[in-house]
Amino acid sequence: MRRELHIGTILIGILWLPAAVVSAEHDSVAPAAVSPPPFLHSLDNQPLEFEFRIDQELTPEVREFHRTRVNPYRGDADAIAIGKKLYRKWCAPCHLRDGTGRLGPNLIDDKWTYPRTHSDQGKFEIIYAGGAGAMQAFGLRMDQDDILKVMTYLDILGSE
Amino acid sequence: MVRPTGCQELQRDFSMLRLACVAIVIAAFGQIAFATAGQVPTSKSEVAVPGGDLPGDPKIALVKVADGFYDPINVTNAGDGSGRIFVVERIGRIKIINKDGSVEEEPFLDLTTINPLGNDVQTGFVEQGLYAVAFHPNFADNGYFFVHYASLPFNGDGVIVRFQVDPASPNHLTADRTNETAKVIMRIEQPWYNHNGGQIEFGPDGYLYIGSGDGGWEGDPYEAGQDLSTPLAKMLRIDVDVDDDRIAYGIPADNPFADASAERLMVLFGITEEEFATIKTRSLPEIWAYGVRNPYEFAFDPKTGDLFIADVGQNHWEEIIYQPASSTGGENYGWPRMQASKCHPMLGDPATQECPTVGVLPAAEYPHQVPYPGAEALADGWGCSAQGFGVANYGGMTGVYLIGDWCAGSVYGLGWDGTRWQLEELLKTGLQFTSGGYDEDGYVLAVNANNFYLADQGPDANPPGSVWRVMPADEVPEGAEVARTAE
Repeated sequence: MRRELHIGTILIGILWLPAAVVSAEHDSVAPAAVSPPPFLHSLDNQPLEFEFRIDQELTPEVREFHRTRVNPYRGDADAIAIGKKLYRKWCAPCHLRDGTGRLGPNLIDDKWTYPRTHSDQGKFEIIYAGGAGAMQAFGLRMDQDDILKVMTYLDILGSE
Repeated sequence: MVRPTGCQELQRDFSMLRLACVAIVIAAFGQIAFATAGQVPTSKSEVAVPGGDLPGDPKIALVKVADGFYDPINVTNAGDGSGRIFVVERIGRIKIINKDGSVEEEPFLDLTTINPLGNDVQTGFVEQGLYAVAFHPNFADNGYFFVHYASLPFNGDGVIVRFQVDPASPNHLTADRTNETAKVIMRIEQPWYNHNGGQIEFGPDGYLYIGSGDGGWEGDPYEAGQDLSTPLAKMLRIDVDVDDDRIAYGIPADNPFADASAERLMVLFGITEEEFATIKTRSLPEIWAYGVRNPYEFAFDPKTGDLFIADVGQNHWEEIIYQPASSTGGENYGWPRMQASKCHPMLGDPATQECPTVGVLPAAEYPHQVPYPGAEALADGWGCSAQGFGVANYGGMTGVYLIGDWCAGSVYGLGWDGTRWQLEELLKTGLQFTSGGYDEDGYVLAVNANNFYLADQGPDANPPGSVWRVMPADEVPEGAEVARTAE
């Protein structure tokens, strides 16, 4: 049997909820309903479609991330431990266990192939939907919740 | 070892007839071919690197033909006018894309069902599996097609087997039919599970060309590249048109080592050194060219007969070999003395490491992210594994060999500008390319899979891959799905 790619296209745009999200330095500014920036594909900056693993559970943390673009797992020890295991399974073959990179770029320096990758949103975009070539769409292999856990491990990878 | 061969004399007359036919074709089209033919570089500075400009500034797009294939790693057509495209799935199946784009549910060939003890194909490592299919030039009449795969019963050895289609069932061979018509043409011992080569293809001369890797591990532990007594690290050329099925294949009389290993009486005096040099008593007559590392993909220019080989590199450089149709074979492409135009092993900056040029230089090369030990990692313009697609003669391209990289998602075009080779990155995609081929209309096809080394979950469990048609960007059909590319 040939496995079909299930494409249930859900534009993240419809997931946007009104949110009064302002950065800390703007706390003194009168809050306004600001929509977070759209998720874009790292390769061509076109709107990213959430088309993978459509049956997965969107955890509260994932939903929060969709609203805020901030990883709610940051600093969570349990999430970091899970993220570390996932990193070593899916990421280390190219980026190495210490993140210094081999076939994939260094993840612990301050250089980014795609400028947005310095942010949580950028990291999520490239892990979920892929970049060029071997930086494949790991949203095909991991639920979004697990991607957030990998991201929180990336935050501490260089200082581990 | 390659199975014993015979009937060289029987083949000689037939081969000469073929040569005559080829000569007539060359004479008829020679003027056109000459106008576009490239030249083999004779100095390292002539080897093209990324950053070149192809004549005509071609703009291309990858248009999806079909998707949903398990680890697709090759694609071709049957040349029978059916318009069918045959997709090779690593696990051991060949699927058909019909002319209308629909995919036959039942495989054309299914090697996972022919052996009651399980799959006949070894897929334990991501570089193993069913590598390629090649249809006999007279497939429409004789129904013969050939596959190359890693055999599980033979512990991963590469086997090349001929099967015959049942005319009453042109889209599917049953397991019984597969077993009944199987003729093993060759078995190539594989000491390790990587660098198995894979591509098989009939050349314009009607002979079957076989890309055979160096056996694996790294660094060519067997020194196979320079060892003429092994089929490893070679381009092989054989004649499958033997009248007696008890004979596996014939040796084309003009193979460069066809006579070199023949037993003979020793004569010591009155023989020139040039004549002595033709005696290579341990050489294999199947060898067409040697000194390649892993010629996983190669392609003939359907217009000129020129041969391009995407020879997968080791730690630092990929190379693209050009062999003109006028070649008489016997080229040494340098591995493991060289990788691309560089020294092997690389010890540091190639600008400061001297080594002699061994054999014939490639037409082009491109670096890995770290181009030499100690180098600063490149931000762009690098790859890890060259996967050849085919030669484009459309969309402003003349004799342009298209190559995709497995890591970088780049699509390169290699073409001759009348003076030198140009290697230009035409696209940057999110695809992991594994191979390419042609459809019956002459369009180049590209294949992508999602089975990268340690991310490999198995040939039937990885996210599915797709087949794409390389089209001029301004000829993309309305509504067609086009591969995402970098801005």
